[in-house]
Amino acid sequence: MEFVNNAVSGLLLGGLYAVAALGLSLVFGTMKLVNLAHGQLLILGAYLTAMLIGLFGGGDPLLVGVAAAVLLAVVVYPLQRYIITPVMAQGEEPPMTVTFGISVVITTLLIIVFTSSPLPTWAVEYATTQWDLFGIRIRLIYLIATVIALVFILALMWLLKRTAFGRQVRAASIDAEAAGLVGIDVKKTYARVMSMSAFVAAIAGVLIALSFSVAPTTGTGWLLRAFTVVVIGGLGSLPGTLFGGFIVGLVEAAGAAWVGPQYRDVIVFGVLVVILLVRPNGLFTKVAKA
Amino acid sequence: MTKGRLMTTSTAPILVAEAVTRTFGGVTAVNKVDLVVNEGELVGIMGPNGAGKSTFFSLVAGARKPSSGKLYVCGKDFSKISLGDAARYGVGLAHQIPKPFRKLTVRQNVDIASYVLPRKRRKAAVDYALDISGLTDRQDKMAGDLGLLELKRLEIARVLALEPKLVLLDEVAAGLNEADLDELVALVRKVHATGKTVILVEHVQEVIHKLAERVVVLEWGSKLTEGTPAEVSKDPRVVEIYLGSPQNEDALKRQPTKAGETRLKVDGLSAGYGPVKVLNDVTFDVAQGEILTVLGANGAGKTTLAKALEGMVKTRSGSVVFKGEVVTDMPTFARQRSGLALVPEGRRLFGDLTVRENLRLGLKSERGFKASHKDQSPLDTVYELFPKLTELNDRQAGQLSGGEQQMVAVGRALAGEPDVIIFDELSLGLAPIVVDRLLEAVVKIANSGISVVLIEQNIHKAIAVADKILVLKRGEVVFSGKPKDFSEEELQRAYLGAE
Repeated sequence: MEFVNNAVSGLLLGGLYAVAALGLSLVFGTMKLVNLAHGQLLILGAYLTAMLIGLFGGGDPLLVGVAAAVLLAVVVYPLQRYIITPVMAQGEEPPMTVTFGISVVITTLLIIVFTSSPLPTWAVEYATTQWDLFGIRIRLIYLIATVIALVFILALMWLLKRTAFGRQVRAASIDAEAAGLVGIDVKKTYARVMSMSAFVAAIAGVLIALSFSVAPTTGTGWLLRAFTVVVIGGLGSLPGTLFGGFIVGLVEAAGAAWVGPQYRDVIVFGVLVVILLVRPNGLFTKVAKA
Repeated sequence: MTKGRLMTTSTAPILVAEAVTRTFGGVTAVNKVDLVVNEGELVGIMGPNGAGKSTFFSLVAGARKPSSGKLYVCGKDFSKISLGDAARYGVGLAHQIPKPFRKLTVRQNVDIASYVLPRKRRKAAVDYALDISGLTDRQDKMAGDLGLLELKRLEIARVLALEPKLVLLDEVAAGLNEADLDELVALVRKVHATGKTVILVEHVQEVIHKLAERVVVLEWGSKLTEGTPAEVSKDPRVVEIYLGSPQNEDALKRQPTKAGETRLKVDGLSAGYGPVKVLNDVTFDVAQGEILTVLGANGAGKTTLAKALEGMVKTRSGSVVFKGEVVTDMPTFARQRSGLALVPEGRRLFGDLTVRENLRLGLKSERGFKASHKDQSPLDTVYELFPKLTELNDRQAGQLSGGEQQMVAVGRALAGEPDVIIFDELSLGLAPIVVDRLLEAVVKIANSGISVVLIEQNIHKAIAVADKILVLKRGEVVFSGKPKDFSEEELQRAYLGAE
């Protein structure tokens, strides 16, 4: 029974990991950009939500989180359009360096405004609720995260496959120059994709803050975890991201149960290294465009 | 200056190729080529795109191995050597695009090349290489600060520092202007005069004419003929592969249109890449429903012209006026949206997307703009022009044949309801029957009132459909006028460099 318990909680934790990694996967899959600020975007989403709750004098974190996500999407748009995209023509490293710079700026701003101590936890019931289903313990917040991950992945896949905007994104990711030839404003398209990524990241940030302790500097750890998920899931594949999340969640749960919780990170990143050695393109190799 | 003034007493062969063949998968790039080059010769290799020149060169340079046949270079069996060993056996290759270490000086760059030699010989070899290539006084300059001609000199100096017996020059004249070209020709002569055997692959036919004692012509991977430059340029088969045969173009004759308003006006356009100036002071205009055919040999700047018109290459000077509006600084997507479309060389379809998706991407309605008021949607026009595409709608564009892909590319441009379409190398790599279909479509497009800029290799067919002709030669306009004023001699001069 303990085994099933660990497996289920690992799987659902994986859902949270998937939603945390989704924005990173989207940006990499469509723009071939490794966004090193992704972890900070997650955390910033949580802080913006906290700020808005303070401003509104209350409110449910997940609902206010939607407003924070819109806000973050708006803030990120010009960053991509006027700072990251202009250096993308110079190769892969310059834009990556710029995103690293952005991550440092976000962390510093958060420390200045909110101090470096952790964000006070939100007292909402579903954050701590634990259901007992035939002896299997289920943390409700993980279940919510998994459902949200599924919804986001399906919505993004639909958007990329079925809409004009999705066609434009896919065309730009295949051949940006030829995309210009069919009238696609590639720079605007990239900025929109980054905004979408930031929107998802902000919601993920709220889910993270509801499940774990969050401080201005926790972003980097989440970037690494998200990166692991994306690599395992197959770089840039959206459904792969969900599987990647599940696998990382399961490996963590198994490692914590059999070896000890303090070795979690060692085990997860050890698995990452092994996978990179054996299957450098990820477990779900086909680099899907959707 | 007479060619072949250096009569070497030794006539030992430095290169012997017997039935040399190289395949890539199912494609035979070089097919049973026989060639003997004696020490001290200066041989030119020419042929149209895809003739196998580069592949053959890479075999001689030891960068690839032949799939079958015998290849001896400098006395070594090149079907057995380790890749990269050719330099030690006396083969030096000068690349088309010089890529020196930009942060090192000229001398340091040449010095690095000399490391294949024993330590004692290096300094002398570097001094000699710099001297011959005329760089001695510039040896402390940073390679990154060099102009194009100096870069070409450096590339040759790097080859000379290997103390090669055989010097291979791959398109060394590419991108040079007239004056620089003369200097480069003089330099190659000088290198040859020091006793080196030289083989050059060249698109700029003038260079071959000025330099080579003997010319080998390749076509479809096989040797078509060889002889002196004069013999070869008179050979009707050579004329045909470069210019096509002047028959059976009646099907493409079109009614002379009454020129409407001017749609596209290009004035003094210059453009290029880095230090290379590819287009120089190009001027022309195209009116409503007109077909302007742009001709010119490889490297004449045709594709650069197409890209500059569509905003994919920055314009250095001059202007592009489209429907009365200056678009010189407009980005590509905005030009497409305002009605200036390009069907690019190589088609550039989105291979993972279906045919329908590719076509729809060009539509104005895809961006939330209203399609202009017409009886039928632009896609109906496309399907009418190419009925075959209706069956292919759900296939991935990347899986179609070349001809089908080209139809999609044309359709994609038409979907944007353009006023001007530029076709860059529409028929490249396609079977003659497919080419006829496509050119018929181009005529229909022009008859519907769309202006056409047609960049073509299929010269006679492209002339047959033209209202106006523009001929480029190394980036400059050498002819601009009506087809009736355009003579065969004019054509040969532009393509074959015959004076």
